[in-house]
Order: sequence, then structure tokens, then C-alpha cells
Amino acid sequence: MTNKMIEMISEIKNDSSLLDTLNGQSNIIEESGMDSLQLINFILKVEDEFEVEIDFDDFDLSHLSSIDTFLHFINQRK
Amino acid sequence: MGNRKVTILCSGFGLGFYIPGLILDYQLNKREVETEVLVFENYITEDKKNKINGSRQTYHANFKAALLSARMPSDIRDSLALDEVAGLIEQWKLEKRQHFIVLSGHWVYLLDQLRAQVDYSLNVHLLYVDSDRSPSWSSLLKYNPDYVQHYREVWLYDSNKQQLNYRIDVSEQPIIPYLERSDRYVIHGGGWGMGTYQGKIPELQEAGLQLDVVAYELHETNVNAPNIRYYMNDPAWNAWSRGENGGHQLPPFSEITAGVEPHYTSKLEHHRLYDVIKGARGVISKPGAGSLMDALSSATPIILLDAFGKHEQRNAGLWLAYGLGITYEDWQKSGYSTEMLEPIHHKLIQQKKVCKNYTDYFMEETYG
Repeated sequence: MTNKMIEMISEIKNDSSLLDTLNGQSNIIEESGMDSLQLINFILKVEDEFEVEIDFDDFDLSHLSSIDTFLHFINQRK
Repeated sequence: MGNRKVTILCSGFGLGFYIPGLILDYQLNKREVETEVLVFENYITEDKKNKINGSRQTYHANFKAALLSARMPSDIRDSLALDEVAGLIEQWKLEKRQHFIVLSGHWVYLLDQLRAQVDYSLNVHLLYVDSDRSPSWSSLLKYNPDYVQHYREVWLYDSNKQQLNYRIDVSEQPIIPYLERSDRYVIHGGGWGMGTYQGKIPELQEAGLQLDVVAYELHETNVNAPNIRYYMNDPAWNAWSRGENGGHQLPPFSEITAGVEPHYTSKLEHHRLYDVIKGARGVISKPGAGSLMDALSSATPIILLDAFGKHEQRNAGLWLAYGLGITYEDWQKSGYSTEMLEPIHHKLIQQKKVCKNYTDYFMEETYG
């Protein structure tokens, strides 16, 4: 799942080098290079891909502090 | 001695941070005060500016994306067009600009730079048109927690203190008595046409209500639908472009009717949608800053749809606590009762009397 998420970021950024540079510990906001709209699109794509509905009332940006943290957040809601 | 001119600093991110600025501009001019309106988007880099329309389309089509965007703090300093900003501050210094009304937190970085470079004091009203910090202000607070210390904060409405302090009179025309109004309801999604309003139209139609719908795109209109009149802002308009007279203008607005090319026009004193709202039984909308301003000015009850972000949730909470609106769900349960709305109209009239006119307040504070 970590790799799937990295692939999604790489696609949104249209930057295949991210496949090599990002890992589970990478900070999604700071290390992906996504701007705010790309970040929003990424989160919405994650909802579709992982078939999970995120309640944004309890969503905090700390959930994006790493790819693994976000995956943990997603898995808790599946 | 500073310049008496008032610089009104708006943002096109939402019409709630733009239209009030132009109304204040008009009202200060009428009081013979020279003004200039500036829109923040003219001081960000071209690539960022070019993305705004894409964001707007996304947020219009997907309210969830819009809600998520409201929770995304962003450091706007990364987006500033540095040459344009430096040129603007130089101009302000040369003209000894002193008086500012600020509707978006993004401007505060520029004011901080001006303040550091001049030897006179600035008179800056940070004008909050929501009852809690909207995204530009909450982002500013995150990256610059002490931003308020050099400026005056003015809360039109304050959800922390549960107070309504000031009003912006959209028009000086008298309030239309409730029973003299046409039996119609305005429904809209704010400047970017966001939220759940479109989904409500079929059930309102089915209930036989007559609607004035502000559509966002032409394909959303159905001019043959019974009991519905459609309106639109000119889709070619944007807040950061200047009009024919060289100044910023209110969004050109038109009714959309079958077989007639829309004729978009704007007034100087207020947005033309207000002329529809002031004669309506109620406005069905999210609790945005513009909706609150229109409601208090015209004593038209708001029927509250889902909020865009925490600041609008706080707006809704405050409006409900004062009895100035009703949730869509409660109104629907009442069978779309007009009788439930009339007392709200009277409360709005009373509240309008209690709140001070912000333009008058600014004049008193600034010029004595």
C-alpha cells in the first residue's frame, strides 16, 4: 500500500523520480512537492483507490506527516 | 502627516472578501474620502494566479474538495510576486499611505513590510467579515502568531464573544416589509457556487416553491423549468481584473431567460443580486460572509445550508443563537413554512438597529 500511495503521488506530480525518493517515512506535505490543489486531489483519489470515506471533521494535517501515518489513518477507517 | 486616502485590500478568493470591500469603497467615496481598492491576486505569481480558476472549478464541482481546502494552511509568502509587491510598497511609501481596511489575511505580510520601512504609524483595520478566522486569517495565525499586535482587529460578528458588533449596509434603501415581498426564495452557493444548494432545488420545486437560482455555469440553468428564475454572474469576470473605468467592479450579473443573450451589468453601490434578495422571503445558502451581510442589511432570513469550513460553521452557530436564521432541515420539517421565517425577519430588523454601521465607525475612528 505504501508503494501504491507513492505511485499516486508520482502520477499527480508527473514526476517518476518520486518513485525512488519517497518512502513510508516521507512527509506528504513537505516532501512530495504537491501544491494545495494537488494535495486535495491526492486525498480524494486515496478515498477512491482505498475505498474509504474520510470524515474531514476529524481529519487533521498531522495525518499527512508521513505516508505510513496516512496509511494507518486510512486503514483505521476501512 | 500621512495620506488621508483609504486603501481597501480585498481578495478574490471568495466574493465575501471582495464585495464588502467595494461597498465600503462606494460608501467612503460618498463621504468624500478618496480610496483605492486592490485585489490580492494581482500580487501573486502568474503560475499561481493561473491555477485559481482550476481550483474554483474543482471546488464548485466537488464540495468535499472545497471543505478540504479550507483546512489546508498555506504560507502565502511562497506565492508572492516579489517585484509587484516591492513596487506596491514603494508606491505606498511615496504616497505616505496610512489608512487601510484589510479583508484578507494574506495582505498582512505586505503591511508588515510597509510598517518596517516607514517612520509614521499606520491605521489598519483588520476587518473580519466572518465570525471566526476564515482560511487566509487562520493560515496567517499559524505562520505569524503575533500578527495582530500592530493592527486593529474589527470583528463584524464575533463567535467567541457571541456578539454581533457591526453591520455593512449593502444599500441605504429601506427594508421591504415581509408581507409586501414576493413569495420567492433565493438559492445560491456563494461566489464560487459551492456547496449543497444544487441538490436542494428539485425538492424545493416539488414543494411548489418559487425560486431565484444563482447558477454558476450556463448548462446548470433550465430556463423552461416552472417557478424558477435563473441568474448568473458573468463567467468571464474575475475579481482581479479591472473594469472599463480602470477600477475594480462588482460582478456583472444577469437574469438568464430563454432565447435571450444574457446582458451582464453591474452597479456601483451593490451587487445586483441584492436587489433580488431584498424582496425575497428567504435566502437558502451556506452561511458565508456575503450571505450574513445581505441578510442583516435587508432583513431577509437565511435558511442555512452546509457550511464551508469551520468559520462558516461558527457563522451558522452565531446566526442561529441570535434567531437570525434557520437550518434547512428545520425549515424543511416545517413544510417550508413562511410563518417560521417572518419572526426571523423582525429579529433581523431589531439586530440591524443594535449593530453599528461599520463605514460610520471607520470614519469616526479615522477622522474623528
